[in-house]
Amino acid sequence: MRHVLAANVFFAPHSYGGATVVAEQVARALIRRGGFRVTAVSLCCRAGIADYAVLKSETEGIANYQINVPAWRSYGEAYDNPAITARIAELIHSLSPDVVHAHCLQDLGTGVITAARDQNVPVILSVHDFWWICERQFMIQMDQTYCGQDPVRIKECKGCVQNFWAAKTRFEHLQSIGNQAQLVTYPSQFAKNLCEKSGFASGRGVVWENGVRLPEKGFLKAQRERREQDPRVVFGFVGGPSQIKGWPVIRAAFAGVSRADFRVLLVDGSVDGSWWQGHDFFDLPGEWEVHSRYSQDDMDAFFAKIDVLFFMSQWKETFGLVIRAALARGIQVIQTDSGGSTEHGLIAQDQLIPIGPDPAPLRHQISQAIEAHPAQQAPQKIADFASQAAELERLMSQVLLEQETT
Amino acid sequence: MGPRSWQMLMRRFARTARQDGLANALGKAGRYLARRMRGQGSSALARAPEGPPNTEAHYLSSVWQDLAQHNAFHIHAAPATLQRRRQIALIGDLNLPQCRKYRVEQLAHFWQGRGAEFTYAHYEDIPRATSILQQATHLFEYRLKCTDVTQMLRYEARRLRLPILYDLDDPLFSVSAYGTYGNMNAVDPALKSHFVNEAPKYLDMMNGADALSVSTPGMIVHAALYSPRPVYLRRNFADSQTLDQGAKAMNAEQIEDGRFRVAFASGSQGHEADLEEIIKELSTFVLADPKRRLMVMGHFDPKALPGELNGQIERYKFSDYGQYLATLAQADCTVMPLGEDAFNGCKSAVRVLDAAAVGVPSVVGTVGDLAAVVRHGQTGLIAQKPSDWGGALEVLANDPSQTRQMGLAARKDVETRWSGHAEPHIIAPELIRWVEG
Repeated sequence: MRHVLAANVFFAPHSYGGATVVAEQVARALIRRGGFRVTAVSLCCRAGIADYAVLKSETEGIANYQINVPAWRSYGEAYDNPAITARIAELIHSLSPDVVHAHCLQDLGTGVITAARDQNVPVILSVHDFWWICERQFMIQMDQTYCGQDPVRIKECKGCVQNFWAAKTRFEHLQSIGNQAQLVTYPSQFAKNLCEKSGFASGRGVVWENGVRLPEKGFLKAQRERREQDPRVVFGFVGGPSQIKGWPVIRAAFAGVSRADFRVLLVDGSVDGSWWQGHDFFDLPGEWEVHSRYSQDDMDAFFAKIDVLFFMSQWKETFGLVIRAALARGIQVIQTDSGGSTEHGLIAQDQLIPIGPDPAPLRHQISQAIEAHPAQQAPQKIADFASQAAELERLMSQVLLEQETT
Repeated sequence: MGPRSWQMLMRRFARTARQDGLANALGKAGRYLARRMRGQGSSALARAPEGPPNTEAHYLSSVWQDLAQHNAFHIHAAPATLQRRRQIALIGDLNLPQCRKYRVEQLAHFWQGRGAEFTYAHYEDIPRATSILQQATHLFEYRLKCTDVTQMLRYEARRLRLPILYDLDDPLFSVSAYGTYGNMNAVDPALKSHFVNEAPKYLDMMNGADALSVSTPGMIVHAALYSPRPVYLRRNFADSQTLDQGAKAMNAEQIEDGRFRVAFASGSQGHEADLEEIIKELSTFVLADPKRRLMVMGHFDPKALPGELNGQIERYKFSDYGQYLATLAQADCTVMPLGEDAFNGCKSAVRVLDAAAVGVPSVVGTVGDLAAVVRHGQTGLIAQKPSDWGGALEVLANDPSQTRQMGLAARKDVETRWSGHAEPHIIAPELIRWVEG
């Protein structure tokens, strides 16, 4: 039985974000494969509990040790927090994992890797975003535009970062810690290339594509019944009304659509349902509705309600789970030419919408979708979490073998 | 912040004002600037919407509710079944230094010596007590009574599926022991009532545990009158502190004035009743020779001593452990009488161990566990009945060389037989299996 300690800033029961979905689902898939025990370490922020106290919980067979952090933490503590490192070192000591699988370490800090190294436990670091090369995590500048550096040179970050020298210290610290992981995985070739070109963990990286949760048996039936009840095309958008997620482009595009026989579901991904509060759509054609955040368990129910998914990111994303989840269910995807999110290879390059404020290309595809109604689009063959876990097992075996022989 | 930063911020402010309204944009800008001025880092974590707990006993209430609502409350596998490494969390009443030494710190050293992790917390240090439970495989509770706080801590331990051992070295749970305890006659009757009234709270705590450990065979018998839980023996022993400080005291310069000193040490109130058991024999012995002295150490009411002894009594105030041993080392022997009652029947031999650690032989009676540590005639003397005490003291006084040899033999015994090895007379094998099995 191999014991994996998965470290991610969020983990069930408090889940948030795509990387957390991957961390949780892969952990569960590993357990289902057999021969694995997974324990998680994550963070929480509670006023009623002592700072840096640890709380143990368990969801779906995975114990999660949540370290309670104070609300106020310094810039430096966001990437290297000695108090958290001490707790993690204790956990590694008592749990004796065979391997540490580090996912999103923002707020947890790089002590996850150094604590494991100090106790001779190998680390697989899975990069999900650009936190390791950008203090703003997504390479989105303060004015909500994409940074565009390729490769990232820290001296070019002057004027964007809070404090250049602090950012430089952070950048160099993370570069040195990256080299202490036995293996670094990226969800896409795009992410790997950009990080490695930027000097992060060169020569240690592999592409480890994310899986998604595939549709359950009843999905197609639910989709068919919905379409029988209401034949209108339904568009879906998962995200908030931000420029970086492409909302202004979507709004401008719909404003120029001449037909109104369609519906749009806007999924509020926030924890508290606040993203779309105060927004109205009365000046737009069609029927608009804000849909609450869905969990992995509710995914089929949501996708059964839509025919077309918008993914209009105005920056280069590392992956794009929602795109693959949609494609696996026969949902048409209209997306921008957004970094690693296009590497599924199922949308022709000339159909990818260029990043930028021009709504015309999107409006054209919206009109085409309303006209053609993509009801007959077949589900695409997309990797699931089980196959992602199988690949992780292979990578883990490789790392453990290297560990034994050195 | 450079001009490029300001430009980007202004662009963002303008866009936010345009899309979400000026008030919203001003609010966001204010929060951003405040965070920058405080040097606060950005974070993905949102603070849970909860305030501090109303009382200490509610420390975990909001956590429990949250975990329950997220279907994450229960831990399905006991940690001890998942990991070989043992991690013992002890939560106890650590206020009494002697209790802390013998029942907490000794235990820590014992289990650490066997490769287990051992951490402890005072039960009123709730953050620490709660925290050490989270990674534990076993919970030991020491000297706790049932309160809202201890019940909360135990509830958390049960949530975490920790087996619970309750440890005690005095029959605090026993109304019948307190009701007949001779030493209680020397204290305020209200205090005695208090102990009697508290007893059910200790018993409740004991019976909520999975197993009990106690310090003497007499205590095992007495606990079995009250609790159906399995009771294991874990005697107090001479730890490295006792042995090291004892050796230091032995090696210090001794008084060479030709006097023969008999020590009586009292670590708490009420021991006048114990000395009363032998005071007649003891007084006769001391007064028989002007070179004999009675050393009275620690808490003791001088009015309880016969006036005729005044010229031959040496008084020593209660002191720290090192000073206590240093003083004890000046004695030629010690006496440890105990009145015969249920409470004393549970008493351990820690004072015999202390005396032996400084190479001083003890004269003990048959009450409690003291005689178990004494090899009669070799490391000390056992008085079978009250009238034996005077004769025993005469034996020791009449042959100082033999008495010193007895003391050295007693010292050797604590080093070899009573120094905390995992042997059945120190700790029940069942208790070791309970933790390690």
